[in-house]
Amino acid sequence: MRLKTYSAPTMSETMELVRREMGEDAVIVSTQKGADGQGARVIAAIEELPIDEAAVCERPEDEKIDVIATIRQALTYHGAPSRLIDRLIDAAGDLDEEDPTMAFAGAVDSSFSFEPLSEPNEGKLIMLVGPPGVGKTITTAKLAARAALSSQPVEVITTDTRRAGGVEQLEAFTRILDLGLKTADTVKELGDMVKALRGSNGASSVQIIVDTQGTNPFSDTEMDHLRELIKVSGAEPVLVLAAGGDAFEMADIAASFAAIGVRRLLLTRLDIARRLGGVLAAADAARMTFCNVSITPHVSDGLSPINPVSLARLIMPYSSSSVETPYKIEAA
Amino acid sequence: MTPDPLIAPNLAARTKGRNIFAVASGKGGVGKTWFSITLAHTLASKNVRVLLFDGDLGLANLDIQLGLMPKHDLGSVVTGRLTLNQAVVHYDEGNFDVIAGRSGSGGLANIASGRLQILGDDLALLAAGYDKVIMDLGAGVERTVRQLTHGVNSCLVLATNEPTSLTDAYAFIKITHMERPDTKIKIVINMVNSIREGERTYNTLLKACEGFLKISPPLLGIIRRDNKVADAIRNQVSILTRSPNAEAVEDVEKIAVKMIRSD
Repeated sequence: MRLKTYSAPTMSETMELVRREMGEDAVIVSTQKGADGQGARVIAAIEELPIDEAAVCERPEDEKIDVIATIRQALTYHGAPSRLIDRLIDAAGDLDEEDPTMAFAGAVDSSFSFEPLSEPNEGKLIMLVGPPGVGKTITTAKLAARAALSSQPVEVITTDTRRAGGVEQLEAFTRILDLGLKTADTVKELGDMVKALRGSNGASSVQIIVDTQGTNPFSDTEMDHLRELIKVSGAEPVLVLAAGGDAFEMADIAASFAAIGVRRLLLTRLDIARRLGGVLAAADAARMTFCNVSITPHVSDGLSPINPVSLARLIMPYSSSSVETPYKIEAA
Repeated sequence: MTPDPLIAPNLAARTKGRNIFAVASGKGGVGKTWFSITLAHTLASKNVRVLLFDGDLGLANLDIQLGLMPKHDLGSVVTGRLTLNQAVVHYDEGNFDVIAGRSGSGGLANIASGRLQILGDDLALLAAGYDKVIMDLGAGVERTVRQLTHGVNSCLVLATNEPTSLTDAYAFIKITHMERPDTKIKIVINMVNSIREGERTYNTLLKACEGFLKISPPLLGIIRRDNKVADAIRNQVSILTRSPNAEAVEDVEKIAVKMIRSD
């Protein structure tokens, strides 16, 4: 907008001046008497033609994003351990990629492994393990719901019989799904139960999901018990961890479960965590494979698979070309 | 079964910016920082919990005007050494909180838009602990200035009766309106000799907005020219501390009352 003040002895003369210089599109924004009350004073405005910015600007805002600095800033914000940051940045720097998120996805791809829990698989036996309160039971319910909804035979067993309400919580879910819930109080009971479900030749196609009690990763007794549960059932243990914890703490916890043979990591509470350095630290310290993530407390919304690109976008939600809305993972 | 897509990880969306008021002007030197401080101080004196945020990323000087020597500032936040809440300092004389910028470094002026977005989210989260957050924006209409206004409650656009100020205030309003038509814009006229002159100035700006943009941003208040303002700035104290009975303070007070009432 261009503003200009015009003065002349009379209003009509002033308006004539405005018209002559600014044309018919001028807007009169103020009219006053002239100095000493003589004549007329008019302020008029006109909009200039918009400049085609693309034609004259190099768009310096978009060009030359410092990929390395952007990744370092993001990882620092997430509270990732500095050695891990350095390693991921080295990996990203080797890639010659201009989009920070994609460069980081490449680094993630070369530093971590990903293998989602496949769709209900015949004969699979999965045991959810982890510290108390990370969402093992609800994850069990989500896996059972997924199997039940695709009409796969599924059995749910819980060893969480001592915590008040442990069995009842899971039972509330299995009842809705019209599934039975078996409880195993001891290692031997679990072994016998799995054998019975598998049939004498172990060839049954039923999928079995085992929920366990919260295990203190720093207690040898509790970890030994968990090791026995895994051994006797022949299950694949999956570590459930809630996102958002301290990086070093999560690394120690994951390493402790890795020591008894846990290889896969399932993340919960991604919907209420903003700092994900702990997630990276855990997978890194324990050399674990990311499988699925839970981003909702609703059982029916399931578990979303995750891959290097979606993880990179979670870590750097705004760093891609579109910064308007943060990255979303669609609930499965 | 297709549930709504869930946003992760984005707590801020829920509370985002509902109580953040950005102070803008387009042109520099029309009193943004002074107005932000005085408004924050006035609100705080009425038992409103206030955070004053220095959003002038290029040339931050809120702390200079207040005579603060902040141990922490936004610079440490952006480099990741501090979280935003750790950069909050309390301004005892005014009983409100301040997040200072990095004076004179200019280093934040070119902050990456992704980082700035995170800063905006963090501020929105932090804002939940206050009744009102006053954000002192930098002059100009560049990306960083505009991006900080995303999702705020309203933009308070400050203008004086000088044609350059009116033109630049209009430019800010125009760009903001074109980028985000739902942004609430309110006008504050500063440094005028009388309320009458302030009304005339507002009407000039209003006619331009109505004529070219077809919007009618309301008048939030008029602040009269007052020598005590320059005196307070020179002495690096809030005018409420130095000249609590100044006319300019009286005028800002009316604005504060209006803001409290409109809750």
